Amino acid sequence: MSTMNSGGMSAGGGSSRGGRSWPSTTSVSSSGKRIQKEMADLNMDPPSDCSAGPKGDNLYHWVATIIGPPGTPYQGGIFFLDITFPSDYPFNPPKKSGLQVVFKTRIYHCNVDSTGTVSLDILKDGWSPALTISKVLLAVRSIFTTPDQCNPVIPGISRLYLADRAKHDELAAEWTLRFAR
Amino acid sequence: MKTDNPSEEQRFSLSLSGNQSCIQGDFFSRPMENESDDVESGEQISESFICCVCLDLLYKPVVLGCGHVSCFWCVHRAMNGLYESHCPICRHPYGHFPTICQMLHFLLLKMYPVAYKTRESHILEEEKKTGCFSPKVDDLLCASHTKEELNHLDDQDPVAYKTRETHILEEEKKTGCFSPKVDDLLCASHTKEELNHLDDQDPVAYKTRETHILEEEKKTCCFSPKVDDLLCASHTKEELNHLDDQDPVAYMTRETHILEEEKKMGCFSPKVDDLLCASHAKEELNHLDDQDNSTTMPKQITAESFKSTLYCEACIELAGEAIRCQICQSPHPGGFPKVCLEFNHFLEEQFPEEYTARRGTVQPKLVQFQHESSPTCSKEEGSSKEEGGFFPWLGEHGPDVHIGLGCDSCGMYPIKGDRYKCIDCKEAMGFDLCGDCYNSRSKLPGRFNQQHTPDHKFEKDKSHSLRNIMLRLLRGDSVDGLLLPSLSGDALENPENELPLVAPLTASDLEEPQNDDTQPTS
Repeated sequence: MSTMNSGGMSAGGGSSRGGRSWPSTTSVSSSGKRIQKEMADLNMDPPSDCSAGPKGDNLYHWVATIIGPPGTPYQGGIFFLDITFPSDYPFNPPKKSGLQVVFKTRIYHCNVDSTGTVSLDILKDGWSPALTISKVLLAVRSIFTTPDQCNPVIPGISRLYLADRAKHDELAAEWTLRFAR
Repeated sequence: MKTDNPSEEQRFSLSLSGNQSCIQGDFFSRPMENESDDVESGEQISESFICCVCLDLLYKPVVLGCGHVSCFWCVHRAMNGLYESHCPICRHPYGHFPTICQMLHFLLLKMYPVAYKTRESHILEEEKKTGCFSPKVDDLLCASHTKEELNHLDDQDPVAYKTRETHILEEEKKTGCFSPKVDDLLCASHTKEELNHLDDQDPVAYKTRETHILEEEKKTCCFSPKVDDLLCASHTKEELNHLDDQDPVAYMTRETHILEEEKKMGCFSPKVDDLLCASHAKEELNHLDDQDNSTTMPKQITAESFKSTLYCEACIELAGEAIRCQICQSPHPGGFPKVCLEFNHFLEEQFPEEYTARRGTVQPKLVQFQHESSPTCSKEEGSSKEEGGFFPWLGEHGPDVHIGLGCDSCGMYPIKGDRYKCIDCKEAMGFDLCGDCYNSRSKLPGRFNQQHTPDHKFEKDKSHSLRNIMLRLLRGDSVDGLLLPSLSGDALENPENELPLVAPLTASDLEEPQNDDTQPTS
């Protein structure tokens, strides 16, 4: 019988007739609505030291700022981030096209790779549709105070953090001074 | 670039490089307009009834086994087509798509009529676009209605009828205080009743019915504005319980309860407000309790996730190992359901006295109940230890997982084991059953309004099983559009599937014979 014509299971793939049953299409409008809601919530009750909003006319492309929390080597720095929403936001972000949070400001941190991409469990397998940008920003802010040593993307920085904390902090502060002010 | 909104400018005045500062003001004002819409309708939606996924008012709420609530479509979209799904809030694993909780649906409709109706129209538009529809709750209600009437006819017991009579009388007095318009739903029930009338052959029953209808009419006369859906719903539920109930003790408690209700309602009479509605809902809960024919009143509300019917915690009876819904008799998949905290909190807030009173009376029962249920609980915990991740899970359920396909009867998603596909359903959605539901000849309607009827034929279909897809990938066949979410490793993202089809093997060479046992169901 119809073994080939399996409809798109992926978001936005549309379901073609035949092969598959339950739909998993997410219309753009529902994700857009949700992003607008989040925007309203962010305006009403912004998380401390963070701000975010769309960049240009594209609702799916945001820019955010996080101020380096006091008491950390990132203190006083202003970090810019680019946030790209997947079209099926907020549902399970698959590996590549999920919610992407990228530092535009260079930062010395073991969980941020050389392109600025933040590596956080909640942005990958740990994602839940109940998470919001405001929660994600808080999570990003929390890695300023406590870097996630379990899944570093730059093992060198992580090693230094564990071996010589003072040296690590000094380097991070230097980067903050150079790039984030 | 707009600079006319100073507060936004301020917020982003931090921005340094030119590229990043182009944040436009109109994006900020748009959602605010939406906010003002809500304010205009005068409905302040409680935090408890905001869906955690769409951040909007819950629409067609579904209660998961862990007690968390979300919208029908939100739960469906958040489910994983390949692997077990997890609650968005607590990550509690589940594998069955629950149905809509009717009670909560009507409660929300009553509490926020404007917002709920707006949601309905928005969702309907989206549904039309995708061509997939969520089940109509009102239809379901009607179905249960007719069922009740059937019970009615079946009932020959004069005692039950008498009690009904007194009950209806009390009902009427109560409703006498009501006001606005008698709406469509009421009309529908009316005609239904009249039909029964004709069907009814039993003279005793006929008499009672007659008096009932007479009272009905009186009632409708004094009525003015709307008697709403919830009233109807609770009404029908009550009737159902009534009929089922044979225990006089339970009846007494009910009677006194209803009387109290009336007193309460009397004070509220000017407007049919939220509280009234909620008390109705509560009454229904108590009603469910009555079926337990105990005089004690349970304390908390637990979400029974499969049928999404709400129960008091102590009311869930453990019949052997499987927990069954007392209304629809469907078995409850997964572990013991947890208390729906949002709803619990809501009831606590709305009815502080009654709720604490109930809590006091139910405590002894709950203790006993927990004692009884402990073996099942520990068993559940034992099994949950095994779930360590995707690969162990895959090892257990193996290649017979039907990716992206759900059972329309029990809601298992994805289907594990055999999958039966309806060959007569024309909807793009299709209609599928898992092995168990196929064998039990389940008669439940489809989850997405499919026009499935029991005389449709089924066939065993393996086209979506993991084994099959792997084989096709290995052979280089195309699996167009089949997304295999979150499969770690790139084994399935085989680049070969973009190459022209050269595989000389046909499907039947490698696979077990398909469609071997096409059987008609009756």
